[in-house]
Amino acid sequence: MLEHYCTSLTARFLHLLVGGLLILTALPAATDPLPPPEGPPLLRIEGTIAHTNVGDEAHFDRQMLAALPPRKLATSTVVTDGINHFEGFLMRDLLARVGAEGDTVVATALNDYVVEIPREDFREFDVVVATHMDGEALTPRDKGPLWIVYPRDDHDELQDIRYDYRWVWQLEHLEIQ
Amino acid sequence: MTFALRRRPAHLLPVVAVVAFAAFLGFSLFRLFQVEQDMRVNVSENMLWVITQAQVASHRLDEEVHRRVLGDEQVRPALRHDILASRLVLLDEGPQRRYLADIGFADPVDDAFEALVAIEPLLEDLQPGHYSAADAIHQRLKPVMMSLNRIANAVMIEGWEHTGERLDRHRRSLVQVIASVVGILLSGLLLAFLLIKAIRQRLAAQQLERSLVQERQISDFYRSFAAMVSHQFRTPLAVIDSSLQRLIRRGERMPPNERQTRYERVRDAVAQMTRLVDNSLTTARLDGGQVTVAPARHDLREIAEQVCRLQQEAAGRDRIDLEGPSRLAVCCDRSLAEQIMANLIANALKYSPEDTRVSVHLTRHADRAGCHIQDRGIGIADQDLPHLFERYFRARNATSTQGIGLGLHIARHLARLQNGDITVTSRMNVGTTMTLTLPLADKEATTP
Repeated sequence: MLEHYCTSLTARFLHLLVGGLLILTALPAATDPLPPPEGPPLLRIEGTIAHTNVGDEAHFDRQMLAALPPRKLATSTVVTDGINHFEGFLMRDLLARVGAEGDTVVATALNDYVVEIPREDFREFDVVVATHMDGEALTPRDKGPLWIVYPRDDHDELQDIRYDYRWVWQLEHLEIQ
Repeated sequence: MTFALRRRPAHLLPVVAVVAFAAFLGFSLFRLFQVEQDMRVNVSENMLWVITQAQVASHRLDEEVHRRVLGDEQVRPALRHDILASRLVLLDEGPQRRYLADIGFADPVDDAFEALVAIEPLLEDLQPGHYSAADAIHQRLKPVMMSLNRIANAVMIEGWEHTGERLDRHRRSLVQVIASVVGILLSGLLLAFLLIKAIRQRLAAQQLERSLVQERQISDFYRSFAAMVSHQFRTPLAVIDSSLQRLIRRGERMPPNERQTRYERVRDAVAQMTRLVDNSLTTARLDGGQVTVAPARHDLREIAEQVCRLQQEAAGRDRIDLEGPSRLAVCCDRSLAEQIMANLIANALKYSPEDTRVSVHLTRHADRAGCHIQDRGIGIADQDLPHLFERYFRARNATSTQGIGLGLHIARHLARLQNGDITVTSRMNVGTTMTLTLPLADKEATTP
């Protein structure tokens, strides 16, 4: 009788243990270390970040960026006509993925355009790093491969030149300070 | 103290409104002027031009150095070097230098100058094929190019920030101006409202004044009427009293004709007072608009004949000559016409000697009928003529005879009520002609 009772307890304990382990493995990938990129890197991130995969930088290729939670954004821009439909990921999701700690994000483009963006922007607004616009992948020949896009139509305060210059196209490098 | 306080509110609101109007207007004009002045400043745009020119110059130097060593004899690296130097000089001057210092990029310009100084001797080695010379120049030039790129980037961003702030300032100014304009509108409306109120008050005051004048006139009328009546009544009342007194005392001992005279004197006095009351009543009715006029077709000759007959009976003498057409149809109120004629004829008889005759001459002229009553009596002075038809007026030479001055005033009023009139011509001590005009009756009109 006691044996049977003890066996039941152990079984329950084992169940709990396995369940717990399963739950742990199902936790968000944010706590996972970064795998090294397999394809050519689209985006390099350095600075005060927790996860790196190449030296003290975090390199992302297209698949790694696609692994981030996808996000859609429809808004007009100051350099195009009409409303454009963007697909990509949220900047704050990317920053969480690399465990960024810092208040400023310095973004650099392929043509050496540099701008400092306060991290507050990404907390307050759903800023998207776009990989596709209107169904087509962005390329370096036209604002690609990555374009920082703000939800301009959704907020009155974003309709200001002082936010417009933070829309970095041909994004290739981020430094977290 | 309380009196002064009650006075102040009358002036306070308009003054406040005017001051507010002027203040809002002045303020919005001031703000607009400020914005206009601000729009003349273009520091950021100039700076961007200067820095991009420097960038271009640095790249062209680099390009022409390399073209030369590749064999291009057309290029002029020395000139490019000078031009780049000139751009750096521009960056190092006055407003540009201050601008760069403000955004923290003053040192790169100094470094660029040093690099150019180092590059200058290297330019002499530039010959086709001398790749190492080109390389040496490039090594010195590359940091300059990168630094100029960074400066351009910073100037661009600074320019955007500056523009954004400027737009904010202008937006704020505009909002203030809009608010001021609303203020102007409101104070303008207030002023308009106050103006309308003042005009209305003025009109009301004028209305009050008119009413006051009217009331004064009425009270004047009653005052002078009371005076007139009390004066005029005294005489006949005195006559009645004295006659009756004498009759009471010595009536039985009086001879019959003397008694008769006294009786008649009493009756005359009573008649006089009755006339006085009637005239006053008529006047009062005229004033109150209670006289009814019933114009109809009548024969003026017939009316004249009747009135003359009555007057002659009252006077006891045949003094009236009636002339004119045997029929004269007019449109009038019979009883009023009778009253007027009776009044005029009675006057004529009264103001002329008993042995003279009074002529009543009927005429027809255009669409008017005329009744001219002429006497050969005391006449009326020229200066009295204009005032003849005024209430209570008695000509200076008529004051001895009995009666009050109501007759002519009433007569003319009654004539005018029937679309007629009374006019007068006269000469002192020669005679007077009073003319009553009335509209002729239509030939088609029927007697009601």
